[in-house]
Amino acid sequence: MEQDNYELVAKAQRGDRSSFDDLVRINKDKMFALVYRMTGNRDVALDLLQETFFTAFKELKRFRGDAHFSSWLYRIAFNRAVNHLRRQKLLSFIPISKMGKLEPSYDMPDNPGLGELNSAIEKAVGSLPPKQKMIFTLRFYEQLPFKEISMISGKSESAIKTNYQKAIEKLRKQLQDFR
Amino acid sequence: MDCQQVKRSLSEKIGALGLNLSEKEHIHICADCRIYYERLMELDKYLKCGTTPIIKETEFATIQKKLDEKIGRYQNRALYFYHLSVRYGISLTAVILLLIVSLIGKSGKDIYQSKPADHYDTLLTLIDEETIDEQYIEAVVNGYVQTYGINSGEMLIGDLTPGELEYLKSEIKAGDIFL
Repeated sequence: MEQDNYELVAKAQRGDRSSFDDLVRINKDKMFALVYRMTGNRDVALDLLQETFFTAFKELKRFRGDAHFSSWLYRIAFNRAVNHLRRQKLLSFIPISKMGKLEPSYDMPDNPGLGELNSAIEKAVGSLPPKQKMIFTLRFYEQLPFKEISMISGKSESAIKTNYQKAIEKLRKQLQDFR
Repeated sequence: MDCQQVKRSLSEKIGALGLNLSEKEHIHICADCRIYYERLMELDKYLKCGTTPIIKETEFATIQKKLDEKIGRYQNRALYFYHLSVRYGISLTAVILLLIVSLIGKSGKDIYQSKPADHYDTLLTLIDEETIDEQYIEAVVNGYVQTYGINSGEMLIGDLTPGELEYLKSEIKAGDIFL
């Protein structure tokens, strides 16, 4: 996978647009899973995914290949998602009357018949702080080594491990009713 | 291994649980850590029940379309600024070069042009036609030559009295230019 990525990145850096499209196609699901789990909103996740790939296109020449291309993309996606969450947090302090008419929520589960457990997991994961959410997603679902997560987040490996342990503890407490 | 160490290690492994020999031995003898491990196993099982968010083909097609538009706009803008920078860059460079050349020329001329041209015209009007002040004439001639160039002496002829002209011819080498 990463080997494919490298070849495509090299071509895309030389201006081959179809190689960039292939990179988008290869990495879309992983990036979408991360931004979706971080924001918990499908529409927002789709917008963030688009922004992530657009940023990647603009900055592609600056990618030196020191890390995996997917790690580089994860970092962009994570930063985008964190910025979005910060903005959202800031907006939550603005009184509703000043925000105008509220849009209806499209935050519906993918599958209407989704079980209670699935909703509880989404809720529990969603309640984690952004950094822990990212670390948990990348480690648990994407099975990335701590070292790579450390490169993506720019934090030390031990800090990542501590955050992961904290995230697990929180999830364990929140999901103990399902035992 | 102590319990704290084992629990931390187990937490790190959730998602990819696999125990090493010392952990297995510890869990075998420590009931507290065994319970902790079993709970983690349960959590692992629950969390894996959660569906992986997948981007639908229709959603991806929309994203790709938007991304294409965005990239197209970005490239057009980049191309526009490139052309603009080429066009105005050349003009700007020419203006800067002209400015530099004129500045260099001016500073070079300043070595000879210590006094403004008007200064000598004013001095000439003050010459007493009957009196020949040698030093004064010499200063005026030198000033004229330095200001207007070597052939400028002709301009001076009309301003001198016949006596002064004779003096120049006989006494000052620079007078040759008047002949």
